[in-house]
Amino acid sequence: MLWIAVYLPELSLQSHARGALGHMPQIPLVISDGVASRPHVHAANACAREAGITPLMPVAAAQARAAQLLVVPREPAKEQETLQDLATWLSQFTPMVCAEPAGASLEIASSLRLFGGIAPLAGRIRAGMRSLELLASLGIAPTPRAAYLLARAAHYMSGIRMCREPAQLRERLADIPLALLDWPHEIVQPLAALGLVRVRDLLAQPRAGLRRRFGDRVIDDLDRALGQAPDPRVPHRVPEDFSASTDLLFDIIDAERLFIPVARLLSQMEGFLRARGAAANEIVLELKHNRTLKTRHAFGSRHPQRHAGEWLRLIRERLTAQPFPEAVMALKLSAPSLVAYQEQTESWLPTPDVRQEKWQALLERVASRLGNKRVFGIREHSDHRPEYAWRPDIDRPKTACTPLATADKPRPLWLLTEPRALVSIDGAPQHHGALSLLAGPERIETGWWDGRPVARDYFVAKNPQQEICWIFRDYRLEKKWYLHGYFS
Amino acid sequence: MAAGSGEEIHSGFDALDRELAGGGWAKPGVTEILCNHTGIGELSLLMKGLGSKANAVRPGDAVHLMWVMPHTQAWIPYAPALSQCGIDLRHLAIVRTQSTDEALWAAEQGLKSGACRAVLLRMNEAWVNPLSLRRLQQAAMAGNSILWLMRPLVAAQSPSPAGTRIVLTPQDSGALTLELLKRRGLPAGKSIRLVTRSLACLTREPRVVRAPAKTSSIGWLDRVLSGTVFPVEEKSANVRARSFTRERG
Repeated sequence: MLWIAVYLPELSLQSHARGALGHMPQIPLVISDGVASRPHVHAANACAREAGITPLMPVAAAQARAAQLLVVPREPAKEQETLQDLATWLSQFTPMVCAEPAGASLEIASSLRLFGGIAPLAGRIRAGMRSLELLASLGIAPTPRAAYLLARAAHYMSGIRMCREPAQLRERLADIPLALLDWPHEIVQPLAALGLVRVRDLLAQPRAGLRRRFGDRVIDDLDRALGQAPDPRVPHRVPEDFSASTDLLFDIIDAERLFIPVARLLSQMEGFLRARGAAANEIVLELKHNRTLKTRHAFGSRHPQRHAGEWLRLIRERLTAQPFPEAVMALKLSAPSLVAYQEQTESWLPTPDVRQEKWQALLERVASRLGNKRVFGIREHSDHRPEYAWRPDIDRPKTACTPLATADKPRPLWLLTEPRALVSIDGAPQHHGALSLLAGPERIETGWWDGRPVARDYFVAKNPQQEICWIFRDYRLEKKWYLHGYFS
Repeated sequence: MAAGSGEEIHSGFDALDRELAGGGWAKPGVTEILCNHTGIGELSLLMKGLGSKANAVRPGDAVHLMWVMPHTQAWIPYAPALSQCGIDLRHLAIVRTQSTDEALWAAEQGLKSGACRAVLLRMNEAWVNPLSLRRLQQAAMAGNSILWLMRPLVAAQSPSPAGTRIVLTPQDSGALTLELLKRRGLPAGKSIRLVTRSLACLTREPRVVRAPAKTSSIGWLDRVLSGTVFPVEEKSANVRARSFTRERG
């Protein structure tokens, strides 16, 4: 067993204002906690800390230090949501992920081979945390509790926090302060009074005495961290469908700025899709402008996709082409339809697959901006009626068509989607002048079975401007001439 | 002509290949086709080269063709005819655009992506911003693909960054006269005459349908079609198909 723990030191801040941290103007921000009449600072961002604001300081005192201080009350529900999202995102690496008080731990012994070892895996997790805009520190140990302790220690103290052998655990955990164990005040206080501040001090004491004085919890926690007592965990369950939202601390008018939180939601979605082994055909982005006004954008993809970058490109095309009506306050991203994802193997040489992928990506980019119906392929269809002898090919079916043998018959390169009635003078059809027949007739009479029968004689004809047209005469009903194509 | 810079796509017409630098449509590059008519063989000029076996795609090359045309155009490329030309329909996509900006954008995306062997863009506007044309030219270079830009004849008067500009004028016999306004290398002197369409009625001896001498109340064509009169072939090279007006007179 080998565990990686992810610790989020700024959880309460970041569950509120993730998008606002790096990219927004520097504004001091604190999260307040405690009773409503006397709130105190729970966490402060870098800008507030520079002004000398520290946790546990009364909010009134903090406001005295920074004039334009932004105070946001703490919302435990939101923090839980962030933790759940984190666990879902991490589930792409292993099925065994469990939530910690401010982070998550994941069992990776069985995934090491797939991801190429500890260092590449930790690198991927770090990169992912950056794309989710979460400040995180990692710890690696044979037990989840020890890994989480090491992750916390890595944030507060320097040094490499990794331990692969259970035998070394005792030594590696020795200098970790007891404050990091999240024990209640009434345990930590008497321990400190006795001069026991690090794990090392506690391990040197007789176990029976510790148990009698401080209850079972102290000894049990230590044993679990050291792997001497069982520590059963309930794995995090990945939800069935994806929906994520974020509130923006500031209204965004500029589309370029909006792509930053959108990119974060997309990488969150990518993690979810990887965890489920799925890909999305369609995603929906909802922009909330004020209490009543929302705009909804649906983005479709012809082949299932999961990469955040690809989706972002589609969203970018659309949102730069259609600017939004008002400033955006909040975003919501959801993936209503999921399909199984088929992994593609990579190859050295450019293969038809790579070519096809580039082509598909191009079509999607164009269709995303112009609309799905405006980009299509065409294919032949076995029907004698010329207007039904082709089909638009939007979904690109895999079945091969069996066209009719019309190879020897003249067929025009341009076909009018609707045959155009021609004026005739003395029975002779006119199209920019009198038409003279070059070849024909080719009689096509069919289609009685589906209510759209045709009875036509087709001719190749030329007008004085030397344009060669494909015309037909409806010989059954009104005996009129129609233009149906150009031999271009 | 001297050898071209990059790889070329043979046009399929030897007379034209001899005049174009490098012996074919320059790739990458922009070629302007200027003509006012529809149905004089302007598409066949391009399709013959794309469909011919001489231009077999090498492994790793882009194979796709993107066709950008205005949304309002009443006609679309006809699949059976394209198959007859040897075009693989699986590699073709049609993009219908509502404005000039959309058309330019779509064509640029297609060229830049490197996924297209060729992009065909039809623009009906007489004037197009030279900067947009320059962008297209650069996109074609970046994606190593061909742009065929079809424009009205008026555009011949305004300068263009395209490497090759060809004016098409129809001839009586169904043939097409190509005048190379601009090409890489020395300016071309004479124009070329080509029969681009593989219509049997254009290449074989003209056929004349003989009408009966006397006219009657039933139209001539009705009698041909109802079987009372049979069209007769006449093997005369000089006689062209007769127009209806003459037949009735």
